[in-house]
Amino acid sequence: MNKIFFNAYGKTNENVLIENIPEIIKSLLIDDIILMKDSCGNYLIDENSFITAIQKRNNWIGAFSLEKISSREILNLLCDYSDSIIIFDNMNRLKILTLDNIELFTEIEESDIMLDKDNLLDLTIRKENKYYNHFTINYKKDYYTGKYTKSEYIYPEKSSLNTNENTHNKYGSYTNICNYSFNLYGDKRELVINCELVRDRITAVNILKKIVERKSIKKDIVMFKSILTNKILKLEIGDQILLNISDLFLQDKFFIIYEINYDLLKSIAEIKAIQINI
Amino acid sequence: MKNIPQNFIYDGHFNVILFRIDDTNPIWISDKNINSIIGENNYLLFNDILPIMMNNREYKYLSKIKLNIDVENDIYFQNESNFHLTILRKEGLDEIISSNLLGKIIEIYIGVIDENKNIIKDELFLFQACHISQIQNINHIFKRISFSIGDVMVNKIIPRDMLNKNDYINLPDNNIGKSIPILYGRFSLTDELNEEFDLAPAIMIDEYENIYLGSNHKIYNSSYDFYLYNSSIKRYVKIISEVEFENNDKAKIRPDYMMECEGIFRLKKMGNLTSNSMFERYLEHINNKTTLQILSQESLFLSSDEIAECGYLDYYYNGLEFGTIKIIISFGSVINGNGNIAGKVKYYLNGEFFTSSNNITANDSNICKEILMDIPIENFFRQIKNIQFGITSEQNAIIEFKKMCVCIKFNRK
Repeated sequence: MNKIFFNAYGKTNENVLIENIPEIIKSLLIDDIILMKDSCGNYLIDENSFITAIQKRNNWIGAFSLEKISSREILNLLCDYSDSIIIFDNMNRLKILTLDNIELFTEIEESDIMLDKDNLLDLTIRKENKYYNHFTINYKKDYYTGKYTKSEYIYPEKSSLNTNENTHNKYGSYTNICNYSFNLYGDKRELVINCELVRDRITAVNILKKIVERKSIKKDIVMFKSILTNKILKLEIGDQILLNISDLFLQDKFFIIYEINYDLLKSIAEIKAIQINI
Repeated sequence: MKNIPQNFIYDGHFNVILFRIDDTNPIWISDKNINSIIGENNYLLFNDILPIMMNNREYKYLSKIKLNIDVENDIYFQNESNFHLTILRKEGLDEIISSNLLGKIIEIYIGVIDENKNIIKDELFLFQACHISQIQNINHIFKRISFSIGDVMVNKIIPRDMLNKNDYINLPDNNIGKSIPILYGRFSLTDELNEEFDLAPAIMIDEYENIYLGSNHKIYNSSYDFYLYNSSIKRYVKIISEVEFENNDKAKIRPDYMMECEGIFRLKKMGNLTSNSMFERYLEHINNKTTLQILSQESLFLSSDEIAECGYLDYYYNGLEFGTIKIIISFGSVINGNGNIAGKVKYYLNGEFFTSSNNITANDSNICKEILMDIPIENFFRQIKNIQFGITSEQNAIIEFKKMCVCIKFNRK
């Protein structure tokens, strides 16, 4: 008998329980991962980005006991579940960004994109490979048995699947997204998320809905090359862009930048971005 | 979006790239000849150590800077990226730019030189800050400064302190190398009657003193209940004997060595003494968790395999309270029948009937009734092979039954 179990409340910050997922990320970074500090003794962390993320994920609650895990793995899981990313900004500060914030975006015009040797826009578009349309989230892990004691799922409706599965339109528009994905691609693709960091149904359903939005449809991926103008210079990973380019059916799609290759000596940037809205 | 300083003078073409290494005396390396950096004190400036032209060709002294986060492959944390800067070796430079600078911040600036060849620090744009990861002499001409950014900066194993015999002399061998948990959020949703447990684990650090740690930090101040998991019956049981709990820098738990525990088991399996007329209603009650109506002169008996599995139990009934077992029955509405009662609680042990004086009446409507029953057999749980708890209703009575649990106490061996 090497373990006993207890009803417990976890870590606090100034006597307030830490349970909001972006707040847990911040606590892990500061208390356990030991971030570098700047010359003034401040953590190299973008406080404002965390304040915004904590507000946006107000009712996304984590509850878990961590034993021996790489910080990379746990941070990635927490970001995945809270639909956010963590980047280093140009000042080397850690910054968190939620992925559903289509409020601030930069419009990229044709004139912002370089021409290739054939005098065409140096821009390529491809589709993401992965998609799913059957989503299950298992949560509330029992720490003795290692099993999850609760589940939620979003599947296509029975009519669109033509199977005997007992499904129904419990999640409205999210079920419709699954219907759309199934009808569009014509096969069943299942994603099961074992979410050991969450114990309540509301958060589990929030996570599931975001994952349905993110992974049910193959998203467009764009790559383009630009001169480092003032506008391009300002862009960083995680920024959202809208491509105002005629004839390419991109006008209603928002993209998030996930890679920038800078050649400072030539004053050029190659930018890759992935669609975030459906 | 990056912050560009208000005073950054830029018309689409910067004309100087500078590197600043954050040391006691900051080291500046410029790709153009500049005289001074206004706004920086006690710095070293090198104008001539970047190999810009070699053999009449432009030399690529700075590698491409790739920043990425691989969201396509479900990575949501910026990847590690490595870049490098090549500088010329010069007399005296090896001592300044040496391995002492490893881990220091290197900043890349771009800007525009004024006509007097001065640079104003506040008017430069901090393009990217990184950390120096390697400094190596490539040959007698070149030296390479490598720098990195991304997950390499935060990739560590957490919690950082692993359990070992030096810190915890009586640590069980199978817990060596394990960590004391970091605990977030709340584990407080335990519902024993519905067999729902939401519990955080605490790990044993002293097998002689019986001490456990639940976290490597102070936790939120609240009331605590402590449980054991009994693997033979696959149930959590509550520790009801004294438990010391310290919540200083760690959550430390110390139950009595002879722990007294209480297990609550919901009875679901239909006993063979149940009236045949109830069979359909019983199935619906179990499948749909509905209230079960016990009508006039019907009997509902439920049994539990778990407490009847003689030989698998690793506990024994507590001698201090010998002679009692608690039945918890949850009712909906109760209507009395003949004799001004609705029914009786009864039980059978090894097929032998034992009645009790516990009547069910209309006063028990919508409550959770607790009944202490006599146990007539010594070493009760060692001898028991079959047990059925039940309710029989009187003529003209109606009893709405919700659930029945049996609660036993025992000492952990």
